[in-house]
Amino acid sequence: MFDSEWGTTLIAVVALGSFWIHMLLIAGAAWLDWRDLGRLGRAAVQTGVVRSGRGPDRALARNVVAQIGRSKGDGVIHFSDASHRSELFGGVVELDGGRELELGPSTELAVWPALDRRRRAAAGPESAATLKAAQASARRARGWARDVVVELGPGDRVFVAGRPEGPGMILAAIDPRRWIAGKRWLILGFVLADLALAAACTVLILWPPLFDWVSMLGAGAALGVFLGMQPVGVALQEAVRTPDRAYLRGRWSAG
Amino acid sequence: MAVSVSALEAGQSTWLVRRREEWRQVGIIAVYWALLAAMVFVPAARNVPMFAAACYFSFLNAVVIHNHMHQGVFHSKALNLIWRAVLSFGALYPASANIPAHNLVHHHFDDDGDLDWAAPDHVRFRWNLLNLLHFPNVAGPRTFAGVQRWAASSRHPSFVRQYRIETGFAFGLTGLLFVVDFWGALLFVVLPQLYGARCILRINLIQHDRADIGSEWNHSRNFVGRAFNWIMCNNGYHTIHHNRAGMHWSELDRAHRREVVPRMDPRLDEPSMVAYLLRTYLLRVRRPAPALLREPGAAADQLGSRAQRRAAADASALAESSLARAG
Repeated sequence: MFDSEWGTTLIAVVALGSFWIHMLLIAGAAWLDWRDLGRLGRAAVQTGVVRSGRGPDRALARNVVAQIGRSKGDGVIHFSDASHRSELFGGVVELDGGRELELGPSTELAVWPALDRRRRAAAGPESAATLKAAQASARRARGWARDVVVELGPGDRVFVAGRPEGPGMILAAIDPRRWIAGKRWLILGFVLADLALAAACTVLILWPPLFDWVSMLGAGAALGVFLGMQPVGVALQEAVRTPDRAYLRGRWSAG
Repeated sequence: MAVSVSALEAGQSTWLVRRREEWRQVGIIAVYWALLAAMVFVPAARNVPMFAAACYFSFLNAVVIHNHMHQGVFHSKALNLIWRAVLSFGALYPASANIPAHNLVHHHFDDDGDLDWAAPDHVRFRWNLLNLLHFPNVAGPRTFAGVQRWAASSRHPSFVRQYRIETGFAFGLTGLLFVVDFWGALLFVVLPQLYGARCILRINLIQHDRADIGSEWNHSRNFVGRAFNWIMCNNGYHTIHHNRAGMHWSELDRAHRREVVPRMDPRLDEPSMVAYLLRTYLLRVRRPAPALLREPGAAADQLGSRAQRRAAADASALAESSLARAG
């Protein structure tokens, strides 16, 4: 254990073991998202059209992303998300069967906006003057704060998942079952790719004679996979955040 | 800011370094480089004890990065920049990443609209040991992506250039070692480098998990063993470091006893990190539930508000960067 050859072999074995532990952890973290989305997807879904709302501009509900914009004064404002919140003001949804669903006010729900609509709401600025005014604040350490708001109001088609007004209820502008199914396939693909890459690297590493050039190629690939799968895993984690909490970020520029 | 200036004044009488305590940090890095060099160039040194020592000193290298990015070690601005590159090689990441990631984001938690890239909530396995193991896989990429976003809007004039120099030096020298001896570089240089870099990320989890980041005094866990803090350059005293980020590390132990102990929940003072790790991650399976932490409070709180002290800490961090830039 303490001589050079045994030391090198032992450390190589520990390194390979550690590589597998972390590849399994990355896959395991993705599996947690897969499992949670599965639970979310089991909720019964009702569809209908918003008839009235008791919020501003007769809105039934809204999703708000509070953002901070910062700039170094080059005509570009970069936004980061500070918080995401969902608000149900209360109102009436006419369900597809003709029945009316009366909803009371709540903040214990998730409002899923259509993400392209949210992107449009965040786009800007409307004018050079708006950008200039925002940039003055964005250059300060505190940054320029704004809320990106997407409302669900009269005439909007909505999906109500879970017990109305119960904890965990989803009020969505998109079909949550379809969204969840798509994301779960994405996660499954990632987990399989993660494990397949780890297995392929291991085969190369253990290719006889050990420590020869094929083995070397495998070790180099394992290092690359180990470093590469971490940001990919985080990107996946962000990609499967439910639409009420999905990162918006983005930027404004003069062009 | 006043602390930072007094630190500079206090160091005028020392040769090369701002304070004589900095020699401890220089010594740590010298030992670390000696261990790596021995394993690369002396085949007989490629053994488990040397490897384990290199891993431990790699972690200490990351501690030195942390301290150096709060207050530069040397009087010379040029030397401070070179030192950053040296430290970057030891951790295989650019030391300057600490300015946005640690000094400006982590020290603020999520108070000012940017979620902490190294928040404990990023991991959520039920088996708590897995959270400790997995944490760097999540916090690392979040940190580097966050640094890229920060750099895009930062008005800090020399950050990107310095960041690239450190990245080039760290990866260039490591790549050169790969060319010379692939297995030697991978097993006896890169593994220790990664170990240290990943352990310093885990410290965020260890020091803040189940603490109350919204609290003035209960946001961090402290490890107060004397020997531990000697080798860790007082990095066990985390509450006072957060509250007075501009204070030199050599003053943290006294300040902890004076300012933190009377005000914090005593359960956040841990005598031993090893005992804490064993108790929290090995001898129990589940993650501990958040505790209801008390702030006993001191008779007359004469400290500035959190916002005031934070502003002073930011000024100190940016002054440190400016010192480096001017060189």
